[in-house]
Amino acid sequence: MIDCHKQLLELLDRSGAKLHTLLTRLTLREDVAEELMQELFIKISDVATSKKISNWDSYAYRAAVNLAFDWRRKNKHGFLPLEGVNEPVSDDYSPLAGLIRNEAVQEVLSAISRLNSTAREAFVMRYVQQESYEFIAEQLDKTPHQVRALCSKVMNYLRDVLGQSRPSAGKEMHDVENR
Amino acid sequence: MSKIDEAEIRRHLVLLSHLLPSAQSTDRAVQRVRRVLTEHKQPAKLKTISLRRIIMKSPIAKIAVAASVVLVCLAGLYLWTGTKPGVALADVLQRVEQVQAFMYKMKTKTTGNMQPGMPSGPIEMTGTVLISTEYGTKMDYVMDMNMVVNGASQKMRQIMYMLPQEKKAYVIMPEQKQYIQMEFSDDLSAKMKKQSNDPREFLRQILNSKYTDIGKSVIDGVEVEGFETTDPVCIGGMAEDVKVTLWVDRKTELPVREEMHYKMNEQMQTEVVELYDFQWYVQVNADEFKPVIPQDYTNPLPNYKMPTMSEEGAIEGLKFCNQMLGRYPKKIDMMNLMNEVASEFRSIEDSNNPQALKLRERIVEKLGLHGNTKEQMSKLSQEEKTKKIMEFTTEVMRPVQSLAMFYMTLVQEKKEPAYYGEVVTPADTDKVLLRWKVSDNEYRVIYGDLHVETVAADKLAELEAALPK
Repeated sequence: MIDCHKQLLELLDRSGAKLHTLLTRLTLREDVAEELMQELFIKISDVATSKKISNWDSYAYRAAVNLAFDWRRKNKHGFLPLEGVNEPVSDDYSPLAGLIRNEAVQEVLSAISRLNSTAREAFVMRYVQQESYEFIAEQLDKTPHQVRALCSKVMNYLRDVLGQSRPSAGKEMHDVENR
Repeated sequence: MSKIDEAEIRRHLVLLSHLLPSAQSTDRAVQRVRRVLTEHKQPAKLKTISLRRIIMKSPIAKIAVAASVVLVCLAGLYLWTGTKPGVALADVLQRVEQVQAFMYKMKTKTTGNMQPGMPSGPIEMTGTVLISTEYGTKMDYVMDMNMVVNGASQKMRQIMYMLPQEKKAYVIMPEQKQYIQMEFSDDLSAKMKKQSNDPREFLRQILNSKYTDIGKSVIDGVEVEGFETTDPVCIGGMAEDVKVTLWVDRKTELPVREEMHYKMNEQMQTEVVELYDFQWYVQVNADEFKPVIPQDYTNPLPNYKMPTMSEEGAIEGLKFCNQMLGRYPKKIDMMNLMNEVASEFRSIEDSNNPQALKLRERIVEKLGLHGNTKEQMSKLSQEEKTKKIMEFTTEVMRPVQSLAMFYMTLVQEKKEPAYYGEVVTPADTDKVLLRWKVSDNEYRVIYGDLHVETVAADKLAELEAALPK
């Protein structure tokens, strides 16, 4: 138990900021991200008490993605503008804050939320967190080639779904890996 | 929406990947997790903090509950202007000392009647409460009895000031051009000054904890999380069938709304109290807490003092009840006790209990009445009647209120009080009448003959096992 507590604190020190950034990007709400951070660590602590976690960072990362998309699903009618996210300091970021409010970004995230968890985690790691294929492969216990293929399939899926008119945009697309 | 091609998807993803939360937000998030992890070194415990504990330990929840009880008591006791606000507001101040100032609105509706002979309601009350750690509490409210007497609507406005630094409280009644000044006893004053946890921190703990809540909702556009308790302790053991719902702003972690339903006694079937429009950390100045009493206002109770909330005060209350009832009261929670004593006082004239008749005589004399009190009262003007009722409820009933308030304090402080007035008589020198915990293994016991001693837990168990069933 003490080890678990220590591991959690180390995880927080090592990856807390990065996890919070990820949660903010996926929820577009700083306040929600703060709350989900709390939930995330509670969830990890729950799991850690009943089974061994071999890769804490990987587990935390994947759990964070799932928590964020769970939140999006539960609040799909309740999205608020990005009021919680401070206006970025850099001028380069200012237009970004405006774009985030754009409905298109919400549509992209909604489409990603309909993916199965592995595809979603891989795609978010690659395109939202901009991790290397090698790193993602290691986290997901796959080969870089598999991850590259998976991300490619997801991109095709998004292009298909978002490129269509609204009625089709809601179609489910769970099994990207086997497409 | 327009179609999005792959290039646009990629562009949006790139933009998303550049989004950074503010450093303050990240710091808050990390510190919040660290705090919880540090406070609960065994992570499994993160899930075990019960709602009861959350509600009971939350100063803000207690504040809201206590404050609302005050107003309900005011509404129910008709012209009552005395003691319970002090205790309840002392509780408020005791628990909110870390908050500079806040305010909220309150609405109550009482159905049934609190005491025999009182209006059967509904009695409605609306008001505003302003609380400052530094200066005190100000309550401005209007009671509507929903009845018309002599062509006039029975509405009454009262402005109440609780000023712990001065050890004083004021109630101003503009329509009556009257005011009452109350002085706190040292024990009550000490309670008011006692430091407590930062309620903001405590609210964070509520949101940081894993608990069974009643879910999320939206109130006035604010995302809230709801908590609910049915534990009577949450309102000081003063009522039954309690249901308290507290809605907390998920973002600020401060209460947004509180709703309470409870049964005060057999006559009063329901209570509905709503606290809403909370404004936290408001700016206040000393002038707002200076009672404005015009020169032509009079004080009908110039020597009024708050009841004490001590063991001695409780014993005095039990003595008083014994004199009046010829036995101990069945229950000593505020409403049942007040109801029992008030009912009994009305029937003393028909009583054969010489002690009670003597007590009544003293009370009547103190009130400046003689002979048939009903006849006497009927001859008085409305203003004089009001004064007599106020004197009765504040001066005469003080020992009773001391007893009830002491018991309420024991309940609120979780000292495991138990009262056996239904089976213990004044002749029972070795039977436990009232007990409460004073240390891990010790209890304070008031026996039937009102002598007091501290006993070990095992001795108490023996004593209680010997009580009549």
